Amino acid sequence: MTRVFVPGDAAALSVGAEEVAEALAREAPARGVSIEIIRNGSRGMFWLEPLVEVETAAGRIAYGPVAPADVPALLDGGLLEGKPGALCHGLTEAIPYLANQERLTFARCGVTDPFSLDDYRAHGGYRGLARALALTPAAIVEEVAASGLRGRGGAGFPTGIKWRTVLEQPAGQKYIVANADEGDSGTFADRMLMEGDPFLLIEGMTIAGIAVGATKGYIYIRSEYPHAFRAFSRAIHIAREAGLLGERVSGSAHAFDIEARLGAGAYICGEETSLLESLEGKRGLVRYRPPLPAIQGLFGQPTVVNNLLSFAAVPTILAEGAAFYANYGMGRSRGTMPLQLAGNMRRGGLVEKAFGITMRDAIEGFGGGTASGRPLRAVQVGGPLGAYLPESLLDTPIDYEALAAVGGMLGHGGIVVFDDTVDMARQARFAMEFCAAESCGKCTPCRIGSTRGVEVIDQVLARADVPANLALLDDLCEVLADASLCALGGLTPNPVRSALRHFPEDFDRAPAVTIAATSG
Amino acid sequence: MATITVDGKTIEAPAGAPLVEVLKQNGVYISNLCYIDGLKPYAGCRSCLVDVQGPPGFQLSCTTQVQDNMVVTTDSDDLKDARKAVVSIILANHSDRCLTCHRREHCHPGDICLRDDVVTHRCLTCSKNYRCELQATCEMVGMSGYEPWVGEERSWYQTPQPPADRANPYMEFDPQMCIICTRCQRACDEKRHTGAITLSGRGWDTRIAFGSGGAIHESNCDFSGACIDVCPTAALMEHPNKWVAKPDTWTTTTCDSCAIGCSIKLGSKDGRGNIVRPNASGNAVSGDQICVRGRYHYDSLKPRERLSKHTVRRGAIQVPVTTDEAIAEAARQLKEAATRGRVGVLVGATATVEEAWLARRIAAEAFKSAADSALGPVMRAVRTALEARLGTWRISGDLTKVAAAKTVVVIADDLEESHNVLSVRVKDAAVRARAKVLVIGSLRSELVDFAAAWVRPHGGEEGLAAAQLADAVRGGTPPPAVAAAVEILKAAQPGETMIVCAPNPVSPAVAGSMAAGAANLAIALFGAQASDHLAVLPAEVNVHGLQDVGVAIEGGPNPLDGLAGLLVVRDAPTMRLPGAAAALDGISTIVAIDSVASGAVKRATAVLAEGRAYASAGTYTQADHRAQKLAPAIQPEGDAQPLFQLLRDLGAALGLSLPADADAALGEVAAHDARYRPAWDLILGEGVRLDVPTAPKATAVPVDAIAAGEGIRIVTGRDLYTALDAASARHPEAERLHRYDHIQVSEQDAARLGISDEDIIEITDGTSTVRAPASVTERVREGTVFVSSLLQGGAVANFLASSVIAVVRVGVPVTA
Ligand SMILES: Cc1cc2nc3c(=O)[nH]c(=O)nc-3n(C[C@H](O)[C@H](O)[C@H](O)COP(=O)(O)O)c2cc1C
Ligand code: SF4
Ligand code: SF4
Ligand code: SF4
Ligand code: SF4
Ligand code: FES
Repeated sequence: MTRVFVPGDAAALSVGAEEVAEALAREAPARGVSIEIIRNGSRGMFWLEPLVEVETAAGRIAYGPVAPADVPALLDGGLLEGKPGALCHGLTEAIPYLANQERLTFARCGVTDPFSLDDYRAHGGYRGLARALALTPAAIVEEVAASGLRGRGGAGFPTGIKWRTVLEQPAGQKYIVANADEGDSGTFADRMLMEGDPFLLIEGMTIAGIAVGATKGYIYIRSEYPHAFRAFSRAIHIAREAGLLGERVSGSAHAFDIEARLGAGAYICGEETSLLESLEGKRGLVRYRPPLPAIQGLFGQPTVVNNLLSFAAVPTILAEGAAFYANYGMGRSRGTMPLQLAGNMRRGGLVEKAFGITMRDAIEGFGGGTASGRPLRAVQVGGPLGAYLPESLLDTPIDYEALAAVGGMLGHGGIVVFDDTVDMARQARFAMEFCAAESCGKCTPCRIGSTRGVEVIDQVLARADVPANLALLDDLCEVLADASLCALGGLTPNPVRSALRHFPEDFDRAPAVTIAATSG
Repeated sequence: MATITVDGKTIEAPAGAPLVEVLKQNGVYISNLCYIDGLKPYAGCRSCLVDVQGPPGFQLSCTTQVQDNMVVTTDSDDLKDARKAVVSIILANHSDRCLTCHRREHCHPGDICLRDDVVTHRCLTCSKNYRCELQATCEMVGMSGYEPWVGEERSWYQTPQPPADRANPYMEFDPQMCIICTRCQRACDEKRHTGAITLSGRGWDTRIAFGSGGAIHESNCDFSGACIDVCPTAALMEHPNKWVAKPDTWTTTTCDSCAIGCSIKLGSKDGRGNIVRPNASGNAVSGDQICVRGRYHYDSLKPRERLSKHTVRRGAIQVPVTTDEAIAEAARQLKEAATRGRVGVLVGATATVEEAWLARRIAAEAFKSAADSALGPVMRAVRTALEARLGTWRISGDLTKVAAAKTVVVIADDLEESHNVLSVRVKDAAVRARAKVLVIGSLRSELVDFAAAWVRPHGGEEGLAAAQLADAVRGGTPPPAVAAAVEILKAAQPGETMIVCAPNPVSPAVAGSMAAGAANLAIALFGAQASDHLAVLPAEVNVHGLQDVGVAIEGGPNPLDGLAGLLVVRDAPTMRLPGAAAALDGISTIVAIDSVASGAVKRATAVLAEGRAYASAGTYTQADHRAQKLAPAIQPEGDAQPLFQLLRDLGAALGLSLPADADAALGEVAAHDARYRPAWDLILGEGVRLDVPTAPKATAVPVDAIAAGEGIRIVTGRDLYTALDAASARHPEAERLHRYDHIQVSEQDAARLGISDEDIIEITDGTSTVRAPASVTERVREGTVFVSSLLQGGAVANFLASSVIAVVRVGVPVTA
């Protein structure tokens, strides 16, 4: 029986994967052939979705994007034998977009049946946990520390150090919390993984629990991801049935279980302390620090909060050893980073590469430049709070420090591209508007200052007393940056000031003033 | 202790203290609009920036905890600018008229203000002018007269502001003045455990909301006003005094509305009260909390509704007379009555110890009788129950121990309503000390939400239920329904357990039974130490003080029986005693001293107008024998005189020589009862516990079930909102929220009898009838109705003539 893969991933479903699967299920038997349709995750090549793969002796052959109406012709054209044709891209693994990646975290995503533990194991799953069970908690933590893994959720804080802090807290109830609120514009890696390789995440969280002595984990899933929530909940259930979660994880003496929670639908609930409040059933208000969540987190207990991708990197680190992972990357950025190409990009999708790849390689090499074909003008890396960088900085490598040096940040790895039709003053206004809308409402600069920012930029857009208003805007940015409690208010000046710095012409015809006002 | 350096100066401060507090105490002002002492830091306003050596950037002084060797800078130009910048952002979203008006300190009545308003007695631009913390902050950070964002478009002026909530009689919330500091929300949560306030909306639209976002009175707010006390702006203010001029005098005195005796500061202008604030340092039990009665009942009646003239009855009318004439006439009438028969003296329990002392001396020396009180039968029932078991009615339990107790037992009608601030302390114990709270009561009180177990006996059987628990603790097998309660009791440890009993205020039978059950329980748990773990809260503020000077010790079941004449000293027999109105009509001489037109005043042959407790100097002895001082905070209206003076002059007219002032009177009390010596030395504003030793005996005596007939039982008790004096005058607004001028009916009975909310229903026992709108609620248990003890001037007392549990028929009247 021929195995055919049709993604069950939300992105593929949104472009008709369900109908394609139905068409295949209908049309193949009508032609007297029986096929097995496997709903895999997405390979992360969105311009090819729905991407249908057929297993052949030579390997998996890719077809896409496949519309339901294409199915009869494809079948008649020898799809099931992997014959080349209109929509055929040959061997999936050989598609340059995939072939040129270094997939560690996403190695299985799109390859396996997300809900098959056998498939997961057959592709190397649960080797990390097996190794972890043979180590002491401290040794697990040191392994993660030695890998150089840094948080993939925003700030790039070394994961090992965070775990060590929690491990060092006195025994008692501790928690693992996976942050899957994925609020950054143009990001989808968390979702892809929850839908495409959920056991990897379960394995990573379990290892974390064993490492720090936590018996309970929560995953906080963005409310706009009901499909991922269902998929992940199903995977938890399967793992529990298989004894991989519960009182005795894999038959060991360790207890660990995971509960999935749907988020509150606010960007700020991705901020870890606000997320904890929300998990506790309260309004998502940011907490002040200290105490750190690692010391007083969920319900006041020591808590590891990591982005889902941080947890997902851990099984590889344990299975292959810290050195293997640390071998990838550059400088203090070790391992691979799942980049997410979005916006005005010809080939949007997921690109996992070792740190050190330049933005240009990612955007032009993988992404193929702008979708509109017009010249690229600006790039925003790291979500809505990331700086806008001009074309001239595209050769900056993807690396925490290198990006910081040019005023940028990596964040969750989202890369959003704008062509030359973009109005950067409007983008700056949008940043302020975003802050005003998404602020948790706690602090003055963020809650009120952002609206002041919108008002002031509106004055600039109306060309009213531009130099004075730009000076005022800069004052506001300074208060936001210096006096906000969390990074939402604190980083909102990033997109605003970078737009002013790199694209002064969009704000005024007198750039001298703007440059003076924004240096610093 | 830690040593820190602030702007080059060395300061000693407790390690771990919030830096902002330490700075303020050392005279360094740092704006702190969201921080307030006593509440957890919030870190929201961002105006308290300082520089602490070490970490990068500026730090918040509210969340920074003092550590040894900390080096702090507060006065660099950068910091000053940063704080100003933050405050200016707050102002960008606030009315700034109060700041930009350069004349705001100079306006006088009749001036034309900058905004073309005619200035009356206050600034018209903001009700909080002069006492606004935001305004003060602006001045302190050097932004006085600052005009933020001049000449610009501002969302604040462009977006219509949400309307103010003025729908209740107590508290106004004006969102446009709110700076979202959340002090109110935290106060309601952390200090009151009520949680009536939340943040709603997101981002720019974040707002303070009550309950689920509706009107304040639709939330579970109980109008304590703890939120008002902490609000830095004019967003939350008392309704009655919001636009009233600021007080010219602040007097520290004691709330007269229950036996917790919360210490208050009463602000007055021209001798009339116009605002109340808690006095945090005055009473160790109440601390910085008061309840709606303490905060608003200074205003329970308008000044013109109080008695301002003494009168003498001539035929059918009361004729105003001078003070001297009134005293002479009152003395003459009483002396004449004494020739005909017995003259009784009734003293209300809001009279001070000193006033009660004079009344007692008048009774004894002029009329050879014992002073009693309308509350006398209830007081005696409680006393008898306690003396039988503990050998004394003076119970030694200390109420300051409640908040930190690990186990609290509450035996009451509804402690939340009768003794509100103590109920807050029980919640403190439940929330902060994680105490196990056991509630024994037929009503579903708010405390039930904090209780680990709730025993819900049938109305009138609370004492019996407590006694049964005592038996179960002693070894009997508890019925399964109360097993959880027995577990809690068995785990209760000496020294960290308090049993709080608030006996019913009108039914001697029920009150005595409650006290008896509570005593039995304390004895079962703690034997000889029982009384140290028990507090019995009387129905009125100075019941213990009255008893201490010998009032209401002796007396029969009805103090109005067999009298030829009666002197009523701010007492309300019609509110407490069954059939009192008719009994009073049968007494030919009644001299009433009161500040309101009570039932006794209306029937009096001579009326002496007095000035209510807030006009008195003196002492209250509250629930746990804590002596609290009163100082005259208001002037009596018109010709009215302070109660003490009237009693003294009446005594003189009766030929007695009584002490000249309250101080001298307390000296006499202290001479007669040495326990009052410390109270005599007391400095105003502080409370002192009188010496109450552990009770001499601890013998459980069985508690009998009180007989009850067939029908629906009446559960009664004090409600939180009704003002005692206004109720005794049967004022229609005695309960301004109109929650308790209703008869509360259980959902089950309402369904059975076809009663809906607001239907006019009546309850009757064949002799007495009360008619009122119904309110259907889960608060009352099936088979009972709740009637506030103060509804319709205490009408419920008429059902309590015999020592059985009152039972009535409930029905919807055919015609109104
Ligand atoms: C406004 C704001 C939004 C954030 N949203 C997310 C998010 O959606 N997902 C995430 O993993 N981290 C988010 N973060 C970062 C988290 O606060 C936190 O740093 C992270 O979850 C820690 O995990 P990591 O160390 O694995 O990165 C956000 C931070 C801020 C300030
Ligand atoms: S910066 Fe904004 S989002 Fe962050 S705590 Fe302050 S108000 Fe909330
Ligand atoms: S009045 Fe009291 S109960 Fe009501 S909101 Fe304010 S603090 Fe809370
Ligand atoms: S109502 Fe007052 S206390 Fe409450 S948040 Fe607004 S300003 Fe602060
Ligand atoms: S608790 Fe009692 S004493 Fe305190 S304010 Fe309320 S009524 Fe007055
Ligand atoms: S007082 Fe520190 S942030 Fe408001």
